[in-house]
Amino acid sequence: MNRWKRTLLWRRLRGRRRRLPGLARVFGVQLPKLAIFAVLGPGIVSGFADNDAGGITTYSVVGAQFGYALLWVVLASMLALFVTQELGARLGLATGRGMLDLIRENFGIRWAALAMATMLLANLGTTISEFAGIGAALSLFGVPVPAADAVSVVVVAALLARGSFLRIQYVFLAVGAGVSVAYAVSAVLAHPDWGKSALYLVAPHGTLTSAYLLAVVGTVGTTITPWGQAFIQSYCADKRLGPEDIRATRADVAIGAGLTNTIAAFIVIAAAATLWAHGHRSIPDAAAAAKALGPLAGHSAETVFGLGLLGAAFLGLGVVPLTSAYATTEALGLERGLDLRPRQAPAFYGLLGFFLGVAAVFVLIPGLPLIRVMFLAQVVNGVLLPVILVFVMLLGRRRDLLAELTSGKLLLAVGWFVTILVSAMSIALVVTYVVP
Amino acid sequence: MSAVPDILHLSLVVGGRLLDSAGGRIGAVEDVVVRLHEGDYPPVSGIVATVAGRRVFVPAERIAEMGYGHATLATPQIDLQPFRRREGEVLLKHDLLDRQLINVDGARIVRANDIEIARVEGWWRVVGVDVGVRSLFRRLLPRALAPRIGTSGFVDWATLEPFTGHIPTIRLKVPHPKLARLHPAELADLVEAAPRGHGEEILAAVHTDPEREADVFEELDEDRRLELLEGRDDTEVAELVARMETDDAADLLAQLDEDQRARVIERLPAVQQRRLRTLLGYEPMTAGGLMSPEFLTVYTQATQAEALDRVRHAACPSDALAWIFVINVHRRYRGGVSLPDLLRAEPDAQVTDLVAHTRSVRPDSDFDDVARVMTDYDLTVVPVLDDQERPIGVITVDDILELLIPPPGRHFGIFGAG
Repeated sequence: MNRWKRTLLWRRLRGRRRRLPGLARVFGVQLPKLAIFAVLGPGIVSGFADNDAGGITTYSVVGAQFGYALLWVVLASMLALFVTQELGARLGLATGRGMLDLIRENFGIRWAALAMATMLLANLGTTISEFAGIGAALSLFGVPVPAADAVSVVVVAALLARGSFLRIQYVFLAVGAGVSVAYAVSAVLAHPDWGKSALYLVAPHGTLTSAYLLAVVGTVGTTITPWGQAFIQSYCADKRLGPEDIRATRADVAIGAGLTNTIAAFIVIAAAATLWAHGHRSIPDAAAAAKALGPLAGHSAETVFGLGLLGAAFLGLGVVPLTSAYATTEALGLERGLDLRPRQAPAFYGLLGFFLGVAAVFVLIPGLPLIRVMFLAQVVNGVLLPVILVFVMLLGRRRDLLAELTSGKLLLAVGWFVTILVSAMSIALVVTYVVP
Repeated sequence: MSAVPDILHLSLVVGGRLLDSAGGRIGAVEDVVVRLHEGDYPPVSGIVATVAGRRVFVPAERIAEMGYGHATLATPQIDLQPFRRREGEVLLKHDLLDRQLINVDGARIVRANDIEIARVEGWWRVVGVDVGVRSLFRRLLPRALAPRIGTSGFVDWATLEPFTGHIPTIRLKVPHPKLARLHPAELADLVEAAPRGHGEEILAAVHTDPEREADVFEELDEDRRLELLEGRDDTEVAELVARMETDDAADLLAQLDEDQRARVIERLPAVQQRRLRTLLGYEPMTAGGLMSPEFLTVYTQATQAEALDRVRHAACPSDALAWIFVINVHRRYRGGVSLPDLLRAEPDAQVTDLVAHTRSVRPDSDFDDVARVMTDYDLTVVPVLDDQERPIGVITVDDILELLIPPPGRHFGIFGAG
C-alpha cells in the first residue's frame, strides 16, 4: 500500500505540522542517519525515562545521605547501563522480537513466566513510585494526594486511550530534562567540592553498612531496570531496525547512558553540596528534596522541583505500564496495541488498567511516606534486576539468534561482570535484611 | 484398558516416563518427532527419550501406548539408537512449541501454546495447536491438575503453516505450500505483521512465482519493501520491478537511494526505463505522480469491433481497461469510452460516437483537483494529458481511494509510530 503518499495526503488534510521524526520515517527519506537518530533514538528515550520520579528522588536521597561517597556508583551504572542496553538493542535488531517473547521461545514457558512475573512486580513498584512522585510534587502546591492521584489517573488514561502518549512523551521528557539541567546549574552555584567529586567518581568510598548497600542497589536499580531492557528491545524491533543499524544504535545508547548518568551525577552533587553539607542527611518529604535546588532557584526551588518531578513521573507513567502490558501480551501471543479497542485486546488493556489502578490505590494508603516509597521501589527494581539480566546475557551469546551481532568476548565478559556484581549486591541486601 | 484421551496435549506427553512393556521405568520422554510435510496431518515418527543419561530415538512402531505422563514400549527391551535429526523431521517441543505459526484461515500469526496430537487412521498425528491462554496454565500447573484444563483455542493443522527457518532439517523447494491459498494482499499483511526473519520466510514461499512475488510487493508498504530488498542485488531488484505495475514500480524506485535507483533502471527493458524515468520526474502528490502509464488508446477512425479487439489483446492491467481513450492522428485526446458502452454498441459503430466525456487532468494537477474532477463527473478513470493534449497516463479510482484511508499509525507495534 501507498503509505508514503497516504501520509503526505493526511498530513495535508489535517493541516498538521510534521510530527517529530520517527526512525522509520527518517530512514525512509534517507536523511543523514546518525544526526536525528542520536537526538531522539530509543537509547535517549529509555535513558531519560530512567531519570523518572524515582530516579530524581533516589539521587537526591543518596546525595543527601552519603554526600559525594556514592558518585562512583553513578559512573559504574553508566557503564553497566550502556552494556545492558546495548545488548537489549542488539537482540531487538537481530531478532525483531521483544524480550519476553525471546525468553519464551528459547527457555520455555516456565522460565518465561518467571521473567514475566519478575518484570511485572518490578514494574508495579516503579508505577507506584511514579504516582508517589506525582503526589509528592503536587503536595508542594498544596494539592492533597487523593486529588492528585485521581487527576493523574484520568490524564494518563485519556492520553493512552487516544493513543497520543507516544506523541507527547517528548513534552514530559523535555520537562524532566529541563529540571535536570536546573540541578546541574544548582550544583555549580552551590560551590561543591569538585576535587572530591572527581575523586569519588572513580574511586569507591564509604563504609559498607546495610544503609550504604541499600543506596547502592537503589541507585543501580533506578538506572538499569527490567522495563528498560524490555523497552529498548521492543523499541528497536518495532522500529524495524536491523543489523545494519548497529553503529547508529550503539552511538544512541552510548549518548543516552552518558547523558542520563551525567544528570544523575549532578543531582547527587547538588544534593551533597546543599543538603549533606548543611547536615540535612535525611529527606523526609518533597520540600526537603527541593532544597537541593536552592542555590539556583532560591524560594522558587519547590516550584522548579515540583514541575520536574511531575514531568518525570508522567513520562514514567506513560512508558512503564505500557511496556509491561505490551511485552507480556506479546509473549503470550495475545492481541495488543493502543490502536485496538479494549474489546479487541482485553488482556492488554486489562494489564494497563491493573497497573494504573493498583498503583494509584496503593499511594492512597494514609500516612504513606512518599519519598521513602519511591526510594524503596528502586531498591525492589534493583533486587529483581539480576533475574532479567541473566536471561538477557544468556540470549546475548546465542550465535543462532544474533549471528554477526553476537556478543564478543569483551562485551560478554563485561556483561557477566555487571550481572554478577548486581546479583551479589542484591543477594547481600536481602541477606542483611533477613539476618539483622 | 486405561482411559486414553482422544486428543493428547504435547505438553503433558513430554516430561513423562518411558515404560517398558512390563511397566518398568526405563527413561523419560523428552520430545516428539514428526515428519512435517507428510500428508495433511504430520505423522509421529517417534519420540526422543533420555535413557541412562543418553538421548535416544524410539521409533513410533515400538511404542504401544502414549498418554499423559508416560509412553509405553511394545517390547520388553529397547535397542538404544542415538537420536539424530533426519531430513524432513521436526521436534515438536524444541522446534514448534511456543513459537509462531501462520494461520492461513484469516491470514493471522498465532502462537503454539500447546500442540495437539491424536490417533488418526491408526497413527499418532499432529492435528492442530492450541492458541488459547488457558493452555498456558495447563503447562504451569502441577501435573495432577493439568489434564483437567481442556483445549481453549484449537486451530486445525490443515490451516497452519509453521515457520521453519530455524529448523536445520527442513529445506524445501516450495516452502509453506498452504500460503499459496492466500491473496497477495493477505500475504503482504502477514509480512508486515511478522518480525524481520519471518517476513523474509513468508516472501520466500512466493519466490518461485515471480509474478506473485511482484503482486505481494505491490501491496507492501514502502518501509517493508526496502527492508526486504536489502539482501538483493541490483539485477534481482530490477527483475522484481519489471514485473510490478508501473506506478507501484515508480514508487518503489523513488524510495531507493539515487545510485541504486540508476543501477536498477539501467537493468530494465528500454520501454520500462522510459516510462519509469518519466514517472519519477513528477511530484508524488500531483497527477503525474499518481498516474499509471498503462492504458489503451484507439484512433478516432476505429469501429467498435476494432476497439474491442484491441481490448482483448491489450497487455495492460484489466482495471485500466474499464475506459479506453480516443486520440486523433496527432495523438491528441478526443474523449473516453467506457467498456460497457463499447460492448453494447453495434460492431460497425464509430468509437467517436461512443465518447462519454472529454475530461482530463494535467500532470501538475494537484491531488485535490484530480479527486474533484473524478467526483464531479463520476469518473472511475481519468486521463492525464501533456502540453500537446496527448494522453501520457491514467489515474484510476483505486489510486485515489487507497490514499483516503488514514495511514496506519502504529502498524509495527506501539513503539513503531514514534
